[in-house]
Amino acid sequence: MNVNNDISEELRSVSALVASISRQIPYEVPGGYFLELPVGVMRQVKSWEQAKSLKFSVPEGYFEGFAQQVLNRVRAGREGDNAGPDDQGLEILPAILLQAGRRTPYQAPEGYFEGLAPVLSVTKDKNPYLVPEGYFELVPANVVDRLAQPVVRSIDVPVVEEKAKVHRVNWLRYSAAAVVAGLILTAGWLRYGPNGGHDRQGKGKATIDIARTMSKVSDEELKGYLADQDTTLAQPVGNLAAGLNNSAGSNMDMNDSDVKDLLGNVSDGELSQYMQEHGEAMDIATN
Amino acid sequence: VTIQDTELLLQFRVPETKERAFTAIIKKYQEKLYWHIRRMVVEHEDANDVLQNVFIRVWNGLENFREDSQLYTWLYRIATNECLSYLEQQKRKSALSFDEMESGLSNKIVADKHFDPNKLEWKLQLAIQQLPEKQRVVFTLRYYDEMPYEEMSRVLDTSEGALKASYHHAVKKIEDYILNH
Repeated sequence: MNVNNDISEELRSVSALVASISRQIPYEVPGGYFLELPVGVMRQVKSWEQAKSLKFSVPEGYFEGFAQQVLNRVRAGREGDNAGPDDQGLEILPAILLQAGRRTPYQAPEGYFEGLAPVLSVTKDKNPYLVPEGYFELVPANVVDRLAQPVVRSIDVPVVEEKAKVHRVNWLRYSAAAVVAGLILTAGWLRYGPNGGHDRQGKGKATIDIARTMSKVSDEELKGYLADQDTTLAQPVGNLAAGLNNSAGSNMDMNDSDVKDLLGNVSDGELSQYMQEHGEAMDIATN
Repeated sequence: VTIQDTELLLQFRVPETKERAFTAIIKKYQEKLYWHIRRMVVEHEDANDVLQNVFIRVWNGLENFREDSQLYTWLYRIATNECLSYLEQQKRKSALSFDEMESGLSNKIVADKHFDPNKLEWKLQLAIQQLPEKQRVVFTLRYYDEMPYEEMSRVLDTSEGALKASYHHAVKKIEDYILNH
């Protein structure tokens, strides 16, 4: 009573307008809301309590022996190898997971997968492949016949063929290498061997041929050859020309016109000096 | 602590009577808490969500409730905090600024099927939504719930002087709003 009066007085002192407004709240509440609310809240509280009580638990004393248990498993080592494929890995899981297993608790509505892919559901039991009629009846007999036949190592064949192929390839490679090496050795032998190179061998052959030929040449033929050589040597201009052209290393037959062409540019003084220095030659020339 | 509340708290601590005592607490305070919440969040569905959360919190914390304050004050404290958390959550969800949030609440008032712009009660509700959250709480606790400053200071953990000043400012703002709208 006092509080209400105080509040009203306080409000009136601050704002007469606000104090004059009705304190009735204009909002409405659905009918029966406050009757149902306690039941609704209690329902929520209970479900919350249930959810809270769903705690994971472990067997009593689980953690006390856990470390030793793991060590034993590690020492045993191969124990896990003997486990079946479905059990592999499960042994290291905590006991609670072992109890749960690997089965999924979810379930699909019945006929869900059939509805998902109708074509697959129709064809899933139908095999599209065919076998010759009576094939499976003949299989045992065929196998027995095969067993009765001499053993053919058909399985080894591909391996052998494979090896042979490898050997063949290797032999080809080795042969090619040997041929190349032989060629190199032969060339080296011919080039640097005891008989020397092609040139020396050629000269040797030429020497042998000349000696053989010379033994067949008669004395008369030799005399005739030497007479021809003397005639050639008697030509002074040819000798002079041969002397002048020694640097070129060539033997040339020269006539008077050639000599004129060669000495046309040489002055008389130079020629006289040359003649004085090579008196014999002059004599021969004037001869 | 009133005698009745003390009795309810004793019953709550006994497993056999726990649910019955809690149901009695709900029945006793549901309407007060509901209207306190409703004035803050405006819509019934929001108020219902917040109120149910408040009672679940009460269920979880009631065993540890220290009887050095009134159960009523403690319940208001939980309800107010839950309201402010809810509004903050709504703001984050819709990424609205404070002003946008206020206009959002005003729009909810205008959208009410019973809304009548000519009635002062509705104008007052629109004016309350213009207030900052803390001033709004202070004004509604004082104006509608007629809560003494002493209790209010326990609920809001604010000094009585600050609450008086806040209430004064809130009333002035509301007056301005009503005069100008």
